[in-house]
Amino acid sequence: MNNKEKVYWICQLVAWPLWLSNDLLTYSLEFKETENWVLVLNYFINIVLSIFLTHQYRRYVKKFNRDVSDYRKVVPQVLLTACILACVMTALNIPFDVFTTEMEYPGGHLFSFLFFWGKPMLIWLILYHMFQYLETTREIAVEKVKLESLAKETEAKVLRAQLNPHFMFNALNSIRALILEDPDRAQKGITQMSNILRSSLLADRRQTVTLGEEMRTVDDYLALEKIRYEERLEVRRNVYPETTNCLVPPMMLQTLVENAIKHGVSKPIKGGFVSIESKLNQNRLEIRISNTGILQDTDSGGFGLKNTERRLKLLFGEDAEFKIYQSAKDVVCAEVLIPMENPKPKEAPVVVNVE
Amino acid sequence: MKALIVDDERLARNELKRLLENFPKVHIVGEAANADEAIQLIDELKPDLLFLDIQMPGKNGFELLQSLEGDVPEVIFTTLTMNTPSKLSSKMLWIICSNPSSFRV
Repeated sequence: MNNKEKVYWICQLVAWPLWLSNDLLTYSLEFKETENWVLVLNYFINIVLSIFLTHQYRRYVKKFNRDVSDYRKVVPQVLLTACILACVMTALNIPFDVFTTEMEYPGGHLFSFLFFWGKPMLIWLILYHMFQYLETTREIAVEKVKLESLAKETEAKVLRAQLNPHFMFNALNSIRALILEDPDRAQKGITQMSNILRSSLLADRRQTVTLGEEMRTVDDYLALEKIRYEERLEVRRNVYPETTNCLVPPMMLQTLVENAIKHGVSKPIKGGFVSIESKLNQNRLEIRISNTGILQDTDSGGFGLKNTERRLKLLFGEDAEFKIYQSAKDVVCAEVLIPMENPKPKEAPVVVNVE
Repeated sequence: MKALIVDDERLARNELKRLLENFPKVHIVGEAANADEAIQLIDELKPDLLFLDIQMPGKNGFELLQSLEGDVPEVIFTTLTMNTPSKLSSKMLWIICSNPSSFRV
């Protein structure tokens, strides 16, 4: 028996006896000549009857109209049921009272009987439906939260950056050419590549990594690109030590640096620079990745960049920001701002267990 | 046979040179790191064969071919990556159709 069921039965077993005990007292005072055990028997029979009838109503509701959110349906249903239940109780109680109290004209008390029974039935029904209503709205809310968190989780998974296969392809070819020319560097290159692959695999399982970890991946990545672009790639790096423990989405920085190289270094004949800066400013982690170039619309309509923004907001809330802009005449800057007042990213909301 | 290598990556050019050591017939007369250098060298050295990369900074391989005046050398594309944008392929078709004898992809 679950909690809801328990509460229901406790209410039934406490409320009815209490309510009817009032009746029992009145009768025992008014009809002194009737023996007490008859009245007590009457009392118990009425308790059982009331619980039985209201319970039947509950079974009916549970079976046939679970949807009780529309008050235009519920109000008439409640009134009608109260009338019916009152009539049934009256019809059963009149003969009983005639027998126990030897009342002469029970018909004359018809309305007081109906009123007497209609009142608790109506209260019962109203309470029942109110409880039901609160329960369903709560269930709906919980369901909504569950669905939302599920959707967010799925979305975050989809948005998680994947390692660009072209990069792997190019890096392998560079390393191949390096094997004869500089075997040590080639060996190092393979290690760096395996490090990047490892981070990329871990990225599927982790929501965040520290900036320090992410920077190691980026450094490996840049070292490999340096093999390919040689003097055409210039790297500037300015990461404040206090930012290395901040949490960032895995592979996000790598994607942005890759983007910077794609637009800033691979296109101009002389190459260009990529600069990575990070610092803490007013409880906010600021990461800036700049590259040579002029900002322009891409064929994909900036899909990857929108992804990055979405991913940040999913993990760190609406205060997280991502933007890309022309920071100087020939410098494009991608800026990531992550609020640090809650250094832990939001976990999936705790779901209250409702049976 | 005089050959010219056009590729923006030094390592890629080196690798190709190393591979071509096995072909004594092919004599590498020069290297270019971008289209502009290549156009100049083609003009000066008149190579018979062009090892050409498609994706390069500045002009890409196809644009280089389009801007050539006079005799066009035989071309072997050395592109390894598959990330050739789709707009290039239609251009490539156009060049091949308009000048079929010059191409052996």
